[in-house]
Amino acid sequence: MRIKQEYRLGVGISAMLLIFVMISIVTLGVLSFLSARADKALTDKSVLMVQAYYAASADAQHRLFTLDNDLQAITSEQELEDYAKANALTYENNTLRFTVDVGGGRVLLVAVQLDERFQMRKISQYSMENQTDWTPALPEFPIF
Amino acid sequence: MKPLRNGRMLMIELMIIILFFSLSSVTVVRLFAAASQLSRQSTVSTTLLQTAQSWADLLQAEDDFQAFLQKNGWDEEGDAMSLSVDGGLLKLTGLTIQNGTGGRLIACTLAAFVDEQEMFTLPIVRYAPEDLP
Repeated sequence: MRIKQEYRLGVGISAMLLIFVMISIVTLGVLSFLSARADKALTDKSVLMVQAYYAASADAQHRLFTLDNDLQAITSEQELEDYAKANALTYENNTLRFTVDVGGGRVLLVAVQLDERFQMRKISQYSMENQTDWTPALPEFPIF
Repeated sequence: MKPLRNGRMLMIELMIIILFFSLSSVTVVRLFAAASQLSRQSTVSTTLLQTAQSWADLLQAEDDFQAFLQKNGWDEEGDAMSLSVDGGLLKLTGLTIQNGTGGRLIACTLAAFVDEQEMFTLPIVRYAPEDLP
């Protein structure tokens, strides 16, 4: 008896293996691309944060320059208080304070200590602080 | 006629597989190239940012920016000064000095370049009072 041979369109084991390898490589490629994109986004954010700090610092230095120049003309405490009020400064215990917004909930705090002639003695504070506390979004049933 | 028909089917099958592989290869190569480029960009950007920050902080403690940079290996290019960093270039431009009654305001811009393309700029300003420590 003669066996009838019929050819069917199908995939062999080697083709299936290669398809599997290709799918694996594509998955790997997609994952590495997503990882690289996340890294780049993080770097960009970091650059923006650093730029914001230096812009705020530059603003603070400009304000110190103006302040030191303006203080030369001030002779009484009343004048100083008026000057502070007009220039969004706070005057307390012989110290002038101002803040510069850095962005991202951060502010640059600057405090200038004055001498008895209302002139700049020293910069007593030049630091960055958070305005808001970070509270992580906890799940309904914390596991830790 | 049967072997010829079988041969044709095999050829079609092979062509479909080759087409699938070529399309997949193109996709994979493009994906890896994009991932590699992004990765390189973020590496260079991070290196430049850290170096720029370091120089910016050093400059904020100096009264003579130009002399300090010259002493530390920066090249002078007209009004600007530059330093080659791994994969990029740092350029300091727009140096100005403003004199006031109580001190001097020194300002400049530190820019980072990769392949002639500007990545970021940092403004550096220092107020140097005359009679303060």
